[in-house]
Amino acid sequence: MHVMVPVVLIVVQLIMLLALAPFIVGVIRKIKARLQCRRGAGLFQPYADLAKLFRKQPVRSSTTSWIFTAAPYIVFASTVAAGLLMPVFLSHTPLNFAGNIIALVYLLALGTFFLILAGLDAGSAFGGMGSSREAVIATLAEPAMMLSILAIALTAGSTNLSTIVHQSALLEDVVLAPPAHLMALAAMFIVTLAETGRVPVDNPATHLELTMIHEAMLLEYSGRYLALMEWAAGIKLLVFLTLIVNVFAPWGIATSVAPVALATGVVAYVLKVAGLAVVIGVIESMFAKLRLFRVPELLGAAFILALLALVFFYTLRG
Amino acid sequence: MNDGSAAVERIRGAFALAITDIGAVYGVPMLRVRKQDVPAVARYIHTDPHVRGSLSLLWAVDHRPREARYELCYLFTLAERKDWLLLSVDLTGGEREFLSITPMVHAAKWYEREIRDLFGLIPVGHPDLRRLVRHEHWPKGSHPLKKDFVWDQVLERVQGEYVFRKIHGDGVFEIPVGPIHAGIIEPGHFRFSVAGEPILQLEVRHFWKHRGVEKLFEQQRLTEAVPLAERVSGDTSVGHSLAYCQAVETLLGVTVPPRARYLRSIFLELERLHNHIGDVGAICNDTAYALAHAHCGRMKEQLMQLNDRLTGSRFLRGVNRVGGVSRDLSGAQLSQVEEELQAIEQEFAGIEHILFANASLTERLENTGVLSEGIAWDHAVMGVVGRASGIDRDLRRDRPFAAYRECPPRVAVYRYGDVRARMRVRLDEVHDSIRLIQTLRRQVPMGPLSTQAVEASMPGQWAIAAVEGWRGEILYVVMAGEEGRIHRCKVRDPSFVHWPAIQWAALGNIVPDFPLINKSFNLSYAGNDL
Repeated sequence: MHVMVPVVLIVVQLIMLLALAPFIVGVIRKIKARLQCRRGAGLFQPYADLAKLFRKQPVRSSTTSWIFTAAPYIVFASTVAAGLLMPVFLSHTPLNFAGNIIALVYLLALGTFFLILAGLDAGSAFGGMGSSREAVIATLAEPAMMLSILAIALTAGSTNLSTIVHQSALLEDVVLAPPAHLMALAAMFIVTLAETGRVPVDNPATHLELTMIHEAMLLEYSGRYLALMEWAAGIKLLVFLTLIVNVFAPWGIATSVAPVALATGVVAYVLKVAGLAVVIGVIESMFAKLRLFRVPELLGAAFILALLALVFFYTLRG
Repeated sequence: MNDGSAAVERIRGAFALAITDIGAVYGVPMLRVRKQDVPAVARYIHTDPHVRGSLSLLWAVDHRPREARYELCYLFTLAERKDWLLLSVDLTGGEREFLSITPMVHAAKWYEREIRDLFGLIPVGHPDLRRLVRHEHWPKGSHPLKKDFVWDQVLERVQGEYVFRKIHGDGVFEIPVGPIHAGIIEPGHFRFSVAGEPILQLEVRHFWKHRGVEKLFEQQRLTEAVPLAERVSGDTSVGHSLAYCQAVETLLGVTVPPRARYLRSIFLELERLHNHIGDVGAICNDTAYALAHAHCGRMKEQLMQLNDRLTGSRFLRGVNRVGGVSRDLSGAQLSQVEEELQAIEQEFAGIEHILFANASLTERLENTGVLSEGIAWDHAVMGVVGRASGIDRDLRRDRPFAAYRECPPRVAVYRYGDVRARMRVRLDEVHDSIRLIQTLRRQVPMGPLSTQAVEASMPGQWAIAAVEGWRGEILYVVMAGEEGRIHRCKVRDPSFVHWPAIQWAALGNIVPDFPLINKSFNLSYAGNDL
């Protein structure tokens, strides 16, 4: 293999993550709008929003510290880095040596941590409220997420994401232990909704500061800082969706760097994440947001599901 | 109608000395009470099991230049037959102090502070004498409803600070919200004291959009102030203009022709309809259930477009005039109303079905923002909020106006006092409004649209009128001045009563549920601030 191929693949993966994230956000909004009998904004509206924000002058509160300006870059960079650690359209992502699933989880946690700090930094009432809620949810979501991934890692015998995805992609009958897989999938899906601030945990479309979680931490941001934060949120959503589709349904993913395989991989990937975005859009239209104090119960259920997945893995393996 | 004669006898029996005179204002008995006895009499009316009066309104009048006295009037709604009873007390000889009844009658709290701010009269014994209407930047001695205050002067801006009630303790934080909000809503400030998420205390600080409405009324003629009344609270044009017109009509002795009475009821119900449907959607939206919001928003828009086609105004402005109505509805228009409402009712029933079937929504609405019947009664709460807390009051049934004597409403009362109950009252009233409009539509008699009101000079005469608007009881007291002018016009939107009550409904709830509670009250800021 030419020495440049991995570099090219990494660049392509990077561009895909950056370029696809706003589209996924657009798909969810479109689905919600259609289900409400509205025409809705175009699928590419999030790109226009980002472009607008990047052109606008950012306003900084005089009470903020360096954390406020650094946070958008850290959040953005850590989220993108997490995205590069995992297979996207190719089962062997070139950067897989750099870190396993645990590194990915903690790269995302790093972003969340700085987001929480940024929410507190301006000293506004809403930012602090958002930060405290985010901290609770992130703390509760993390064990469920780790456990569900662990269940899959055990199946594959590795915590390296590329190995996990590559192995299950090569398998004839896609999943080894269906009950364990399904439960881990359910747990992972709930974690995704919680971590990315979707209904029924958070409402990304609200203007009511008192109810916000993720948006509350961003209230002080404007201009390019806000653009970076919004983009990073989109990428984080995409990372979670990618994890789900590639770990639980790696059908179509390229297992070699042959051009045909790569092309199939890209098309299959885009279709799968877009499909999952549609599912999220439908769920957001069907449910009211949970009362904040019910969110731990939901995440507790996710944790139990992930735990059951592990139990099933051991018992069914015999 | 002869109000509360039995109650008057009881009170006279109990307070023979305190009552100096018994009169009547257009059928409403009025007791003139010695100044020092007002708290005792008010307490008796409020607590006596046979009287059980709920304070509906408390207002002051500056009688200058005709007489050098201030007058305070207390309007009670009695438990039995929802009769009215008035107390009146004079402040003469430059007296500036009156005895507060707030320690006995909680509902007087904001009224007395308002009187202090606007008239400079001091309620002695009031537990909270911070400014209410006059924010701290108003200069000392500026009391706009005093007759020597020039209405169009520009006040200098002074420094001052409002002190919020403080809750002390470990981990107790204050969350200031507003008066500028992220959504397109009116200005209001909410100060939460919280320990984590649970709300320990909520203090509502309003009156940011004081426009001097009552002072503006005093610059107008009795027959010409309808447009001002329509703009007191933009979403309640019909309710406010109707209440104003009824007060003036009583004063001028005008009989409204039957056709106008029916059309007034139809317009009032149309206003109730589009507001209630909008509110149901807005409540759902605050739980992030955007689906219902979208559909209710669409139906509300259809209704407002219907309003526009019928009257030329989406908000039904300009339909009422003193003596009748100024817009007629033809037979064709009335059948159009019937058709559209039939379609809306079917669609709305569909949405209602979805709402009741959605457990995640119900879970959010139940037990959220409970306003108990006791607290509701203490605050003299009525309207949608009251009926959701077991307060069985509806002026359309209790003091029929327009065409409600002929077509009485079915009053929906629920006991739980939570967001769900307030939503259910609205759902029921949507159906009942449609039923009422369909019934009224078929019975509208032919005839003239209005009676010519002849202005008479009757300085010092006054009348009260009450209309059950979509929020609740809208009260107007209009006193005639010289040569057909208005001497005093007291405006009371139900929001003025319900804002203090929402502070109680929020207690013990968690912060992220407050917007939902607030939406289930859906109070007017403009109608409150005046």
